[in-house]
Amino acid sequence: MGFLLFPGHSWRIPWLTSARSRLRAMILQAALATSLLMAGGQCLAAPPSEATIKAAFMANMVQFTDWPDKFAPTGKVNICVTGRGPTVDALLALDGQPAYGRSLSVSFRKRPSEALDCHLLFIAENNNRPAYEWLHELAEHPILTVGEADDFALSGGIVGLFRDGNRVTFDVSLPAMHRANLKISAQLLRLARQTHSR
Amino acid sequence: MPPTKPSAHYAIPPLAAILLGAAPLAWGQDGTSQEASRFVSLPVEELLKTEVSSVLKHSSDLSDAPAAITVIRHEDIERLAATNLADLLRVVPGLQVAQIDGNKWAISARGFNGFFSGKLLVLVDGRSVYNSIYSGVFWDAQDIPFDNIERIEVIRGPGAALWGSNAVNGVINIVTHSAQQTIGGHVQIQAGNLDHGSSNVRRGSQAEDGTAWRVYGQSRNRDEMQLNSNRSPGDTTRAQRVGFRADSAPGNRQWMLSGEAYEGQSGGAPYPQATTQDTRGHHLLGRLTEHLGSGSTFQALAYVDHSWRRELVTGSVLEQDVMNLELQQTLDLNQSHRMVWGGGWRQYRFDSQGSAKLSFVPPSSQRSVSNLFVQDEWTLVPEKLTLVAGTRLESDSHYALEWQPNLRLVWTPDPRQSFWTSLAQAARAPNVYETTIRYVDAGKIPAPVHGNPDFLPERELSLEFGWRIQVTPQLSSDLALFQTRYRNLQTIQLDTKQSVAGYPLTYLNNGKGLTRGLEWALDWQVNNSWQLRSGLSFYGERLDFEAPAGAGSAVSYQGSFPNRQAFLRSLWDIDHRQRLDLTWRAVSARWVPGYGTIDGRWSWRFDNKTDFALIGRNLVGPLHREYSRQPFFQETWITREIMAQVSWSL
Repeated sequence: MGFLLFPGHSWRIPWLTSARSRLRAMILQAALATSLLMAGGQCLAAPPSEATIKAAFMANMVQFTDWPDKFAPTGKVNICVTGRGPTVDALLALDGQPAYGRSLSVSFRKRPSEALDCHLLFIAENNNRPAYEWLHELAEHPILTVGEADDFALSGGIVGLFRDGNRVTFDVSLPAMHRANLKISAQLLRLARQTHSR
Repeated sequence: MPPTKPSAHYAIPPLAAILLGAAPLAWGQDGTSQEASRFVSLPVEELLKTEVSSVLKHSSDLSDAPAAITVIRHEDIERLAATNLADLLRVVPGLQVAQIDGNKWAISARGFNGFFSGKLLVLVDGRSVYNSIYSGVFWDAQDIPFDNIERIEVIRGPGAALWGSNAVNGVINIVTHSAQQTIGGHVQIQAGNLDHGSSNVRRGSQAEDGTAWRVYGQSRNRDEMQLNSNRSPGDTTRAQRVGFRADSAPGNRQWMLSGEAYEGQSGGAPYPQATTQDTRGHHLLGRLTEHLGSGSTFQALAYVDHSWRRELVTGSVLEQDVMNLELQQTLDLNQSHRMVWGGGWRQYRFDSQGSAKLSFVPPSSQRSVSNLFVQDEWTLVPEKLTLVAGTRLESDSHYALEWQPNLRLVWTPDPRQSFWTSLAQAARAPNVYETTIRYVDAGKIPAPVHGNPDFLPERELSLEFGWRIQVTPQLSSDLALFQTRYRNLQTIQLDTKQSVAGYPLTYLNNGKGLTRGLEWALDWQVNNSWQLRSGLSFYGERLDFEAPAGAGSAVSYQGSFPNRQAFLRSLWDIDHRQRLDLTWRAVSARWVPGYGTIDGRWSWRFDNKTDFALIGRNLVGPLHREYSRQPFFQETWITREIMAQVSWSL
């Protein structure tokens, strides 16, 4: 299959010259092609994208989270996003949407100092600032910080969203949650893949 | 260390026009806007059970870094059929990894590949493992256990403004996991036809306050390759390593401490006698990071590093001690300027014991390098146009001040693609062997080689251009083009000034040249369980002498870098327990005939704690050599390899 990429040749690749190695190469390529066909034969119905589910999950999380009285969302939930990517786009598309008795207001924030009025802050990996900058400045503010980076919940973030196989799942960091004075209900914590207690 | 933005990409040249025309959907237009509202009303348990469509992992990392960067992540490392650290680097477009023998590699980017070519800076957690003696890396001493590695960032092109001299053609930055990421126990053992039993063990723990540490040990035992003759190749490898890392809990002040000690015996093929190099070394590294608020971060890095190497047959010994301290601050000057600035000091001490064949005059030397650097990231048009300007000033105890400026521009017309361009200047400082070596080998070279104490830094000016595009959520492309002009390149010439009978060969700065190339990578997530990744690179050079040189002279490493390299990887998740990963790779002829071969890895997860893998390397094709014309080593023929690996998490 390799030589198909280079039709004009001129590689002088010796492994194609001897009959025995050609046979071996063909067997390996057949294996590759078979794996190709088998894997390609999978159903092509259009399931929702990972970003869609993550955005819907974040909108949902709001009803399982308790903010301190002064900061609790009333009619409007402020969801803030920072950075770029499909999850950011999916969240921004939910702006104005009603959800569980409140309406979602989704907006973009460029700097931690501008995010103090957020109830939930999604920090995308593709960002001008590394996640730790957001997390350290906002650590003690009652903001539910959500991210996608592998170690988000280990580096000070409260909820880390993952793709596990074909599904979306999440980790929660209890110490980060306590630092922010927030309380996520046990009902949601039970569904987490991992709950970090340190 | 200066922040780099990770990304993993591939590219499409003339197909681009067709594909762009045929794919009017930008990413994110996969129905997301309509669907998300539909899913919001689903109960949470349902959301977590919904199957999602496949998308390139890390597609959201398509960053606008204005440089040719490839990141090899932990997930990639797990799926590469690699038996040595150098094998992990073979899937970076534009990097040539040429295995010399069982424990030596010549690795370079964009030209001039040789064991001692020295145009590639290699760092581990910010510590330079670049050897000041030979301007190269002894890869047998960098045998980091794979499951300690978080990611490997490879930046092709001059990274001198941020990383300093010797980052002339590229920088490889190996980043290890934080201690918080390696809690628990882990044991791995492997054996095969070449690997006669290697193992590594790791134990990590976390304290109440969030501080974590890990300790680990690794033992390697690898057999020799093959020679094209009756003689035994002798390139066996034995090595042992222990190390630790500790990290503070995440917070406003974070510290990290790491250390390692290793020893090994690296055999080499007859040249003319088989020989072994005894190696030993250790290092201690500490890093402190302070988040000062309003986006300002301060970082300090300090380390000491000792390495020692003795060749058993000749008795020559090389020893290097490095002390390094560097400081750096990142801050937001205002809304559109983000600055990084800092400085550092590094001292090298070199000691040697000569032999009849190889010695250094003087046998010991010392060198101090100080540097100051600054870089400004200027947002000209928010989210669309950013200019990065930086420079580094280096001062060496022997050589004049070096300015290494660079200018980069990145334009992001829409969220799914970015164009970048870079103009940079870099220098490679002279090393110990070029200035002080005395090498005699009547059988292999026509005259003795004497170092040139007046050897000057090599210089380059590089112009690069790149285009990254997320064509669809499943297909991404990354293209980089470069043209580099070199001056003061190392040449080996007869030194007519010496008045010793039988003029010695020496190193002069009499070379100049132009290199050009293209690096392209393409990632395609075919469906939920199958991903294809490919890389292609082209390279051309025109090197020459500045002033006419006599017969027998050469511009060093001319012709060493292959014109074409390619790889294609297939990553298939057979089911939730099994994976099959195949890599085809090919390199065109250069000093040795071209070759192409396939590596494969089949892995089976027994349960959450146990993994089994079967790894094969160089599975097809005749035995081949990957490098030749080494002045100090005899290359061997790279043998087919099969290895079984079992790992347990405890």
